[in-house]
Amino acid sequence: MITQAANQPLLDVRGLTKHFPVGGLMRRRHVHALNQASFTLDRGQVVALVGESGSGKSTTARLLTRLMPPTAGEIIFDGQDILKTEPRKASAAYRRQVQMIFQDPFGSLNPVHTIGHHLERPLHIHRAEAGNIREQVLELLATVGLNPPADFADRYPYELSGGQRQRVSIARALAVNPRIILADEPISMLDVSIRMGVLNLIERLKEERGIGFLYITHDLASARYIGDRTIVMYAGHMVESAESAELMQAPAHPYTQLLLSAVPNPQAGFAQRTVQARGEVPSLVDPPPGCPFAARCPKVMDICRQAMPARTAVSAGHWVHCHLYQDAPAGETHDRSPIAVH
Amino acid sequence: MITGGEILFKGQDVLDMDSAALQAFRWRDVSMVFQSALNALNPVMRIKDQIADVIVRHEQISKEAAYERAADLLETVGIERSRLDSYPRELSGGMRQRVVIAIALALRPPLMIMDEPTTALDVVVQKDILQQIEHLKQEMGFSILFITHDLSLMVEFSDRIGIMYAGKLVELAPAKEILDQPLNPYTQGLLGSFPPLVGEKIRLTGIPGSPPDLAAPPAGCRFHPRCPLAEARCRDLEPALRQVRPAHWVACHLVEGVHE
Repeated sequence: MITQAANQPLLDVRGLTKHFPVGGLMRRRHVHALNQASFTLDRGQVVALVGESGSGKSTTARLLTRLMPPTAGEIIFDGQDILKTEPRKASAAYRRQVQMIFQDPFGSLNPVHTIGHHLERPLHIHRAEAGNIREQVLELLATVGLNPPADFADRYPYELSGGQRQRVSIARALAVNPRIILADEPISMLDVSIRMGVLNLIERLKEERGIGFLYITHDLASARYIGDRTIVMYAGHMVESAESAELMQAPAHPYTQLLLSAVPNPQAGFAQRTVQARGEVPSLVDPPPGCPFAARCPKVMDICRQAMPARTAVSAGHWVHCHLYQDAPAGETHDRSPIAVH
Repeated sequence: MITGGEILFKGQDVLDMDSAALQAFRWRDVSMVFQSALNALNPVMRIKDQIADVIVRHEQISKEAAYERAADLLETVGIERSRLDSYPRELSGGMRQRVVIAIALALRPPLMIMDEPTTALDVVVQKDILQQIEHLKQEMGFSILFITHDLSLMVEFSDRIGIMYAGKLVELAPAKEILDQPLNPYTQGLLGSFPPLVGEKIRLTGIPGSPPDLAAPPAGCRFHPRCPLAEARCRDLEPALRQVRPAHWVACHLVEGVHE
């Protein structure tokens, strides 16, 4: 719906869908892990993907790295529909430009290799020119704040704290000059006191190098902190998106409202705030038609159980998939009327 | 083995108890809720047996009566009685954690220790369970020692907060006072590590450095290598936890006592 004719987004994802088959041949069913996900990511932008476990956040990232093929959809990277131009396996050029940082900084580094080795590998693989690799390694370490770099290059992962390891993961992603970094819960396993440092590093890289980040998190507050835009996911669907500040201030989707009401807020008394909806995320195996949130939604209507709501703009740059905001034939009143898309 | 100290429960030192006394003490006086409900429950036992086990072990009661109690307990934590025959794998993460809470409640102990009981859960389920715990606490009158790394959750949920760093209690005060007037620089840094959900967007720095290696903790105040206010004495002398306000204790050389 949002077209950017003049400056085309760096990444334009359209209708990305992933269904996993489960069960035997006779009773083949499908887990609908991701359905019709569409969004864009620009140069020097952080898009935060927020949702509970099983909402499809990591599936989105794994499809974008092309670690597995999508069931349907398009991934348009730098103007190229890459599922068409490189249908079978992602090219080295694509993999170089789209890097990933994983949640677990303990599992993502090889315990028997030095930090320097971890950073040399991508340099060797993606760039033929040898020569000053050591120099580049030291520069990378300095960039991510691991000083003195020469000291860190010769250490092993076990000698580093979780935060330092996560910085190594970031340095490793940076080694090949990527244009996009997919960061899957990069701070959730780190000590609380060092999380902000890693987020600030991401923000700096965004600004200094114009890297586009997809920041995956279950933590709304950190999404607001570094996400220019936030997308809320629920049960495999992208249900709402807006500029982060706008989303937290004026959430439109009942699920986003529920999520925000559940976040601990020291400033409010505990007893005063109540959760509006109970229950848990529905099963993703061959789900019934309609809105995935219908079973828990306090504002559910008949239509919600029949049809998946289309994407509607509630204000400029703020869209939602919710029947409350669709053009109501009976002329129902809404807080905010949909805006025409130009 | 405990190296030193005392644990006084209702005036009696738990460390002096023999094994028979300890067995009676555990779960009847103090029960515990663990972080990972999946690991705390036995995967091959029905949940009714896991709840009834605790009751039968501590009370002269028939299996049938224990199952009846188990069903009541499930209802208490918001699960239908019909789930009695379920196995843990048939329950969602939130329901499993409720079962673990039901087991902890089984003997109505005056104290429950909850070790990160909601950390593995999503925020909506977390909120739901915490509200239930709060409700049960008010109804049944037990006390909770709640262990968490999520300070924002604690400020909302607890009456008093103790802040620990590198194996030491460094501040202890009413929850509101921790939030409004934190005295230890570590507590202040910790509060500055949580981005707010509302209000102006401010740049947060967290705390520089990393938590220390406890095999070789720093001399003096264990926080001094990361402390923005550290002085010479902080490097050599370990600060004791002392009372500085009517209900406020802190371990820091830089905090002046304000005895009244």
